[in-house]
Amino acid sequence: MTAIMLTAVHKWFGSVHALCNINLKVREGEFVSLIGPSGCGKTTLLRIVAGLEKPSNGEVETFGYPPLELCKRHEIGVAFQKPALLASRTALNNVMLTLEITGRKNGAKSPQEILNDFGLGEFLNSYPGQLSGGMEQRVNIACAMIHNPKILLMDEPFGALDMMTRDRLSEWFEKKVLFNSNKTVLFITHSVPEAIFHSDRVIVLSPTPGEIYMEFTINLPRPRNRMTRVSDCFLEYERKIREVLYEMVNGG
Amino acid sequence: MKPWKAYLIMMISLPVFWVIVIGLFHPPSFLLPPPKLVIRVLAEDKGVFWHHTKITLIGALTGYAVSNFIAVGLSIAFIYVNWLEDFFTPWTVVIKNVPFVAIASILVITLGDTPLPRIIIVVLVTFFPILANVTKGLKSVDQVLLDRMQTLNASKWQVFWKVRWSSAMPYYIAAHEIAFTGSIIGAIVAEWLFAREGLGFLIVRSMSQYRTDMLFAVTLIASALSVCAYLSVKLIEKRIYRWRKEISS
Repeated sequence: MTAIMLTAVHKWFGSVHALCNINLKVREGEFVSLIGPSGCGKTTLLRIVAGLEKPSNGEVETFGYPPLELCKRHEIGVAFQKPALLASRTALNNVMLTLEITGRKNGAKSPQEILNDFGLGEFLNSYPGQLSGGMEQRVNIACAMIHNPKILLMDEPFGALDMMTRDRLSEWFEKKVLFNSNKTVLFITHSVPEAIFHSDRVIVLSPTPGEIYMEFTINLPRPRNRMTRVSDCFLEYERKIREVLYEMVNGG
Repeated sequence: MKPWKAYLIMMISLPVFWVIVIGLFHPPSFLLPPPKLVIRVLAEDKGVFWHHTKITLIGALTGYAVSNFIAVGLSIAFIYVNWLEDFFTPWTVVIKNVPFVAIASILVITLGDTPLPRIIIVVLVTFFPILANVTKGLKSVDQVLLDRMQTLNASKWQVFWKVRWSSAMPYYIAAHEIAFTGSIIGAIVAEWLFAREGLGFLIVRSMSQYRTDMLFAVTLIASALSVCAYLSVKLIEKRIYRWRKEISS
């Protein structure tokens, strides 16, 4: 089943053409990464799918409905780049906030269980200000998926972290969140290895206006782990995508 | 240094300093009465002081409650009705800047010797800091939290109560720090201008009778009230924002 479908989507901000003729189809359970230089419209695209922006032209469907309808059904979870946490609520209460708003009792797991799974069992009652950047991001992701939405949208969730924490969180995300889940994920990143590591498909966007420049299907076995990163196949994908990015930015 | 120790030192230092000045310069008691004289006046006339303090407190608290009700209500309206803030800004600027001493005289003439002018003056003194702070607090909410609420299809009430109000609370508490003590000062000044009861009235009466011991006693009571108001706000802040302390420790 098609989870996300964008047909001839354009987005203008005043005279700036942010997105140009985006046609994208994401199957249910598929993990698709969007990669490209700053200003290529990745976040705008994600915000359109989340119902936070309206396209200037074109059609957007999520499981056959407009995004706002799917939001009403609480089937979209968004992990923003900056953790969307209330400073006055503990990690547990921040996760519970999602359930309070959606009115769902629990998703697949309770807030305690999900935070335990995410390695935050000892920090349930810690406030965001007491957590490290990586921990905050894990709480942020828990907030986005506690109500078990069908679609998970992630805007550079590990972007502000150092390389080691980022790799560690990526591996944790692959093992604890993605493996054996049927979530449809649209993932924005600036990191080529991160995109390859998680994705079934990597889509390269070109800047000003943002257009789909090239698409790569990633055929790497799952579950993916640390060894995947150093496999020949992985490195080959990385080389190809980097070449495309350099070609696009430098014009060859 | 622990804050309570600093307060204790101040409370001990003041009378000590007072006694030293009297011991060194021997001013006549109608200019600077000794502490024991002021304490004796306080003890002898405690019924009178209590009556007038009660009047001032009732005026200050009533005015402050009205002020909070209007200012918080208006701040919330500013967030949800876009044109309202632009419409009311000139009014709030006038309220903030017109000298309330002048308004007080007009109020006495129009409303007579009733508690109403006192309450209105307290409202005028305390209204603006609450309005400005709460409005700023409600607007200061992190956009990413509003986006999260939108994707979860939160109702307007949920967004307000769970996100906006939570974000505005530190600003609201900060407003109380200024405005709550301001309400007591406002009530006293209002009484000073026209009332026949209250601490402000006692000041006027003591001045006309050259009762400096009485004046000092009233000053002590008024200062104690203002300090208590300030400390009670700090105490509430500490209780509500336990998380801030825990983060900083």
